[in-house]
Amino acid sequence: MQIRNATIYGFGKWVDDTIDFSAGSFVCVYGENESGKSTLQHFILFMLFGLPPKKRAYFQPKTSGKMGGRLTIFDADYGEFTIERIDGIQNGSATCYTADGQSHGEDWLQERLNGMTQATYQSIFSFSAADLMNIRNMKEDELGEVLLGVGLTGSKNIYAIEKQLDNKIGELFKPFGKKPEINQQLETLDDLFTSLQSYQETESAYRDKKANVLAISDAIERYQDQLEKAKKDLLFTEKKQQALPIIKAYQREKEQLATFPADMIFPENGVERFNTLKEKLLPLKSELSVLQDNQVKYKEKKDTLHSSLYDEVVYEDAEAIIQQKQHYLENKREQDKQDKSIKKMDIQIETELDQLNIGLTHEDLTAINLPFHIEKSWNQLKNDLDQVMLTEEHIQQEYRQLKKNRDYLISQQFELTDSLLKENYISELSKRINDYQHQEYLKKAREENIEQQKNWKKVKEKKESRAKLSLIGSAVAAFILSIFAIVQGQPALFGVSALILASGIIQQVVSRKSMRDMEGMLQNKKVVSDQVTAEESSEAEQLLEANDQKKNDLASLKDRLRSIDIELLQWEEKKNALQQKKDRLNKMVISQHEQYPFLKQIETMYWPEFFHTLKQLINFDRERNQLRSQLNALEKEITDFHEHLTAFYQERNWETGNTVEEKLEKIEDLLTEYQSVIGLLEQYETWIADNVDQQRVTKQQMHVYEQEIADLISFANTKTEDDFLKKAKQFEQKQKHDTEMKQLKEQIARILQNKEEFKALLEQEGTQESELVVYQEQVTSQIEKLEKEIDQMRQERADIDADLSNMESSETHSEVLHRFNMEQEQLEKLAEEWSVYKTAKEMLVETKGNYRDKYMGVVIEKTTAYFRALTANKYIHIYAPTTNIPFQVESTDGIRYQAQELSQGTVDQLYVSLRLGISDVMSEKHRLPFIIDDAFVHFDLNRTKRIIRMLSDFSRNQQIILFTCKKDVAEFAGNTNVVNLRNSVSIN
Amino acid sequence: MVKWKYKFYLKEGGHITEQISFIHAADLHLDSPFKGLAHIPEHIFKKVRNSTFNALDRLVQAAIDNKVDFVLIVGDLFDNEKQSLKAQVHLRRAFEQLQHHDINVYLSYGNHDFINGNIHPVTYPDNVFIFPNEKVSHFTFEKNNEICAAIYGFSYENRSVLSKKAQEYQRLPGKIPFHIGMLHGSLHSNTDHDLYAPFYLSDLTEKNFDYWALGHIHQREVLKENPFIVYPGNIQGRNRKETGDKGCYHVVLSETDTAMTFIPLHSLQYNALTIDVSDCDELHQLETKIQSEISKYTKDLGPQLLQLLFKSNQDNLQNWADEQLMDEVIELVNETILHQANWKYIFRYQVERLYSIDNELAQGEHFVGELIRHFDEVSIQSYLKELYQHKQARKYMEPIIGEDELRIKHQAKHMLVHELLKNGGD
Repeated sequence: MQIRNATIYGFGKWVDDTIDFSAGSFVCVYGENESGKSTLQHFILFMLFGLPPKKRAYFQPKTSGKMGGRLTIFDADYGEFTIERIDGIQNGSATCYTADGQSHGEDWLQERLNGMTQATYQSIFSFSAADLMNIRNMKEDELGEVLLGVGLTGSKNIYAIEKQLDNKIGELFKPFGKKPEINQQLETLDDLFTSLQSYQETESAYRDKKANVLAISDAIERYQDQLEKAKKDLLFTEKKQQALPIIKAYQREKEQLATFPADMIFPENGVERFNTLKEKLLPLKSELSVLQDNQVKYKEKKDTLHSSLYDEVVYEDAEAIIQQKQHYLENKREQDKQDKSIKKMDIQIETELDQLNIGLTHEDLTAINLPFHIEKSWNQLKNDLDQVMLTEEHIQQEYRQLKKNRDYLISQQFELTDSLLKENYISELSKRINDYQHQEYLKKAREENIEQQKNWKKVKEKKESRAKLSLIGSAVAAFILSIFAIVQGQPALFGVSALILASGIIQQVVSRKSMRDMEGMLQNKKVVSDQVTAEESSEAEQLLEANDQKKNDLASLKDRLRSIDIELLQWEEKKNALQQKKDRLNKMVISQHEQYPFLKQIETMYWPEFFHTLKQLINFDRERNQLRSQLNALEKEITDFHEHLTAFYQERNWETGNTVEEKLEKIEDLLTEYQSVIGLLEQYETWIADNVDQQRVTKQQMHVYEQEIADLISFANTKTEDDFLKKAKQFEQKQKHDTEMKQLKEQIARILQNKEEFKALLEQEGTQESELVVYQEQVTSQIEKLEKEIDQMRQERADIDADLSNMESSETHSEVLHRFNMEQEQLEKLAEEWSVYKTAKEMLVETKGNYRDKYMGVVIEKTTAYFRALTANKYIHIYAPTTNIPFQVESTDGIRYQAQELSQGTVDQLYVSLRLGISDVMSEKHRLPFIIDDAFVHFDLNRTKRIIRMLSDFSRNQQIILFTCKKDVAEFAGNTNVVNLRNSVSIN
Repeated sequence: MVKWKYKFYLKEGGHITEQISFIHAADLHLDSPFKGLAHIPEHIFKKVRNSTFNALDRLVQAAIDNKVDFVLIVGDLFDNEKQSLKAQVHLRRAFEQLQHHDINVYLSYGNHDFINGNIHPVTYPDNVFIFPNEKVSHFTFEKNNEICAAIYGFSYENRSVLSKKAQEYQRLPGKIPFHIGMLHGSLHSNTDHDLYAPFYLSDLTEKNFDYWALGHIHQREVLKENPFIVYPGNIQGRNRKETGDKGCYHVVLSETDTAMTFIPLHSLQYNALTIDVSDCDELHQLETKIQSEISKYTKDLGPQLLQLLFKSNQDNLQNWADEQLMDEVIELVNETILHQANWKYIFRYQVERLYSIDNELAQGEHFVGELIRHFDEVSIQSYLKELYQHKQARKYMEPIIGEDELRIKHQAKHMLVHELLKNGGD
C-alpha cells in the first residue's frame, strides 16, 4: 500500500494544499522546524484512521472554515482509491472512491487496513527520535524487554503492565503472607468464624437447657403431687385426733341402741297426737248432752203456747174489722168537714142576696136561667148608651164654641173699620216723600261741579305759560333772524322773522280766548229750593205702611166669619142623628125588663157587673147541692160499719156498752197478742231444728276423732289405750339414743369431710391416740423435706430460664453471623479483584510467550540482517533475550555483548534494525507505509548514509516516508524523492 | 400496590354471606445474611441486619390492622444453614402478638427451614398450626363455631422434596365454603431455582380450590386468576436481584369474589439505576450527576441499597473505570446520601462499555489480537488455584465458575487491552 497524494482542504496550518508522494516508494519530506511536518503526519493518520471530535476540533485551521481532505492511496489488490474525510460530514467518517467510480464507507476502509488501529499503526509503522530517547531513560536491565515489547505489540507497555499487575496481585494476596489485603481478610474471617462457632455452640446449648427446664418442671410437678398427698395425710391425722373422743361416745350409744328391738313400729309423735285427739273429743261430748236437754225444754214450751189461742176464724174476723177501721175514721172526718162547708155556703149565698137587694130569694136562684149570649147583649146595651150620652155632650160643647168665635170676630171687624186713615191725609203724605227725593238729587249734582272748576284752574295756568313761552320764543327767533339778515345782508330773512313773530302773537291770543269760554261754562251751575227733612219723610212713609196693614187684616176677618157660619149648619145635622139612636136603645132596654123583671130595679149601666154576681151565685148554689148529696152517702157507710162492729161483739158475748173507739182498741189488742204468740211458736220451732242439726254435727266430729284414736292404737300394734301409752314410752327412749348417735355422727362428719375416710374411721375400732401422734410427726417431717426440694428445683429452673431468656434476647450471634457473612462478601470481592489481576497477568505472560514464539525467529533474522547492514557487518548475530539474559549481539570476532554494554549509537542502530525487522515481518500482511520522524538525528554522516541507503532498499517492499529537518538527510535521500516543505509545498 | 378483583358465579348451595380474609406471605428468611454487601457502614449494617425482622413486624401489624381471620406463611421462615435463635424467638413473639388479636397462623416449612434441620426447639403459641410432615394434611378454620375454611399443606422434613406434591392434595368432602392450598415449590418449567415439589398449573386448577398460596419463588407473581395461584414473593429483598417492593398479599375470599391487595413490608429496598453520564466531561462532574440522579429516582422511596449502571457516549467513562477512579467518587456520594433519614447506599456499580473489543482487533496479527484470541481459548481456573485452593481461604469461598468466570475474564481482557493501547497514539 502506498500513499500517492494528499490534498488538504484544511488541517492545522495546512489550508488548500496538495502534497504529492508519488515520486517513489521512499519519500523524504524535508522541512525546517515549524514547517508543518508533524501536522502533515497527523493529517495522514487522520485520513487513514479518523479522529475523535475533540482532536478534530484541535486541528481546525485558524484561517479557514474547512477541515478535512483527501488521501489517494494505491493498493496492490484494489488499485488506486481516494479517502476523503471532512469534519462535519458524517462525523468525519471516511468516504472511499475507487477507480471503478464506486464509493465505500469506513468499514470498507477498515477491511483494507486489515484491522489496523491508529495505535497499532503508530507502534509498528512509525517511530521517532522520541522513541529512542525514551529507551535511553529505561533501566538498562529492562532494555531487552522493552525492545521486545515495542517490537511485538507496537507499544512499550507490556512490561510495565506486567509489573503493575504483579504489584497489585502482591498487594492483594500472597500465599504465605500476612499483610496483603486478602490475607488479612482471611485472618478476620478466621476470627469471626471461631466466634461464630462458639456462639453456635452456645445456642445449641439452648436445646439442652430447654430440655433441662422441661425435666425440672416435670420433677417439680411430681414432688408437688407427693407434697399434696402428704399434706392431706397430715390433715387427716389431725382430724382423726380431734374426732377420737366423739367416736368413742358414738360407739357407746350404738351399743345401747342395740338393746332395743330393731323393728319397733310406733306412729310419728304418737303420744302427742293421742292426747290431742282426746282433748278435742271431751268438749264435744259435753256439748252433745246439753243440746239433748234443750230439745226437751223447747217442746214443752211450744205445747203450752198452742193451748192459749182462740179459733183461727175469730182472728180473721177481727182482722177484717181492723182493716176497715181506718176507712171508717176517714169517713167520719169527711162527714164533719162537708157538713161545715154546706153551712158556710148557705150563709154566703144569703149574704150575697141581701146585698143585691133586688127581691131575689135563695129558692129563686135555682129557677133563674141565663143563656150564653145574655152577657154580651147586656154589655152591648150598656156601651151603646154610654156612647150616645158622650156624643150628645160633645155636640153641645161644639155649639157653644162656635157661638163664642162668631161673636168675637164681629167685634173685631168693627174695631178695625174705625181705625183706618182718611183719604186726603194719605195723599199729603205721599207728596211729602216725593219732594224729599228730588231735593237729594240736586245736592249731589252741585258737589260734582265744584270739583270741575278746580281742575280747570290748573289747565288754564299751564296753557297761559305755554302761550307766553311760544310768544317769547318766536320773538327771539324773529330777532336772531333779523340780525342774521342784517349781517348777511339778506332781506328775505326779515320777512321770515316777521312771520314767526306774527304766529307767536296769534297763538297767544287764541289761547286766551278759549280759556275765558271755559270759565264761563263752569260758573253757571247754582240752585236754591224749599227744604224737606229726612225725619219728616220717613215718618210719612211709616204712617202709610201701617194703614195698608190694617186694610189687609180687615179682609181676612171677613173670610173667617163666613167659614164659622158654615160649621153651624153642619152641627144642626149631627144633633138630629143622635136623637134617633137614643130612641132605638130605649126600646131594647124595655124588652129586657120584661124578660128579667128584677132588672127593673137596676140601672142599665150596671148590668154587666150584675150579670157576673148573679152568675157566681147560681154556681155557688149548685156546688152546695152537690156537697149535700155526697154527705148523705158518707152517713150510710158509717152506719153500716157500726152495725158490723156490734154484731162482732154480740157473737163473742162481749159487753157492747163501750164507744166505737174502745171497741176497736180491744179488737186491736186481741190481734197484737195473737201475733206475739205466733212469733214465739216459730222461734221455738227454729231452735228445735237448729238443735237437731248441732247434735248431728257434734256426733260427726266425735266420730272422726274416735276413728283416729283407733287408728293410732292399731298402728302401734296395740289393743288398748294403756298398751299404746306404754309402748310410747319405750319408743321415746330408743329415739333418744338414735338422735344422740346422729348428732355425734354429724360432729365427726364436720371434722372429717371425706366420706370414705369417715366411714372407715367409724368402722375402725381401737384406734389409739399415741399411734396417731407418732404418725403425725412422721408426715410433718416428710412435708418439710419435700418443700425444701421443690424450692431448690424452682430456683434451678429460674436460673436456667434466665439463661434461656438471655439467649433469646441476645443479638450477638445474629450480629456475628451477619458480620461474618459481610466479611465473606468482602473476601469474595477482593478475591474477584485478585482473580482479574491474576488472570490478566497470566494471560499477558502466556500471550507474550506465544507471540514471541510465533514471530521471534523471523524478527530476529530480519533484525540481524538490518543490523549487519547498519553496522557494516561489525555485528553479525543478534540473540533474543531469554528469561535472565537480555538482548545480545555477537560481533564478527565472536564476542557476545549484552545490550547495556553497547554504546548509545549501537543501541539506536539495534533499535532501528529491530523496528525495521518487525515492520518487515508485519508488512508481509499489512504493507502500510512506514513513517519515520527524524529518528536519526544522533547518527553521524556515515551511519546516516548507510541507513538512508538501507531504507531506500527497504522501500522496495514498503513505502517509506521520512520526515526530517536536516538538510543532510534530505540530500542523502537523493533529490528525486524529496518533498520540500520550506515554502509551502514544492515538488521537483 | 396491585389490586385484583375477580368475580365468579355462586357455587352450588353456597352461602352468599360467607367471607374470610387472610394474609398470605412466604420466604421470610428471618435473620439470613444479605448477599453482595461487603463493607457497608455500621449503621446501615444494623438496619440491614434488622430488616427481615422489621418486615415481619409489619406483617403482624398488617394482619392486626386488617383484622384478618388468619395468616398463611408458606415455607422458608428462616434458614437452617445460618440459623439464629433470634429468628425463631422473634417469630414466637410475632405469633404471640397475633394470638392477642385472635389471629391464627398456618405455616409450613420449606427447603430452607426443613423440620429435621431445625436445631432450636422454640415452641410457638397455640394459635399457630404447623403442617407436621411431608404428607399433605389439612387444618380447618372455624368462625362462629362453623367450619368455614379448609387449609391444606405439608412441610419439608428434609432439604429437598422432589416428588409432585401437588397431586396429593384432596379436597375435603362436605360443605366447607373455602379451600386453600399451601404449597412451597416451583413450576415444572422454572429453571432459575432449585426445582422442589414441582407442579403444572393444571395440577392445581383441577383441584377446585379457592386459593393456592405458594412459596419458594422470591419474585412476586400471580400465576393464574381463577382460582388465584399466587407467589407473594419474599417480604424483604435480600440481594441485588430482589429489587423493588416486597411484602405480602391481603386476600379477602367470598363466595362470589376474591379481592387481593399487595401490602409492602420491606424496610429497605434493593434497586438498580442506570445513569447516563454523557454530559460529564470531567471526573468531578460525576459526583453531582450521580447525586442528582439518585435523588430524582428515590424521591418517594424509603431506604435504598442501590446498584448503579453508568452509561456514556464518551471514552472518558471507560477510562475512569479502567483506571479505577470511580471508586472514590462513589465513596464521596455515599458519604452524603447514607446519613439521610431515607438513607441510600450504593453498594455496587458497573460501567456499560461503549464498544466491545471489536473483531478487527481480535483478528489482527499483532499482540493485542493474539492476546484477545488467547483469552477466548483458555480457561482461567489454573490461574486461580493459588487463592481458591488455598488452605485457609477455600473454606470461605465458592469456586469461580460459569458466569463469574466469564465476567472475570472479560474484565481482565478489557483491562489489558486498555492498558496496552492507552498510550499508543503518543
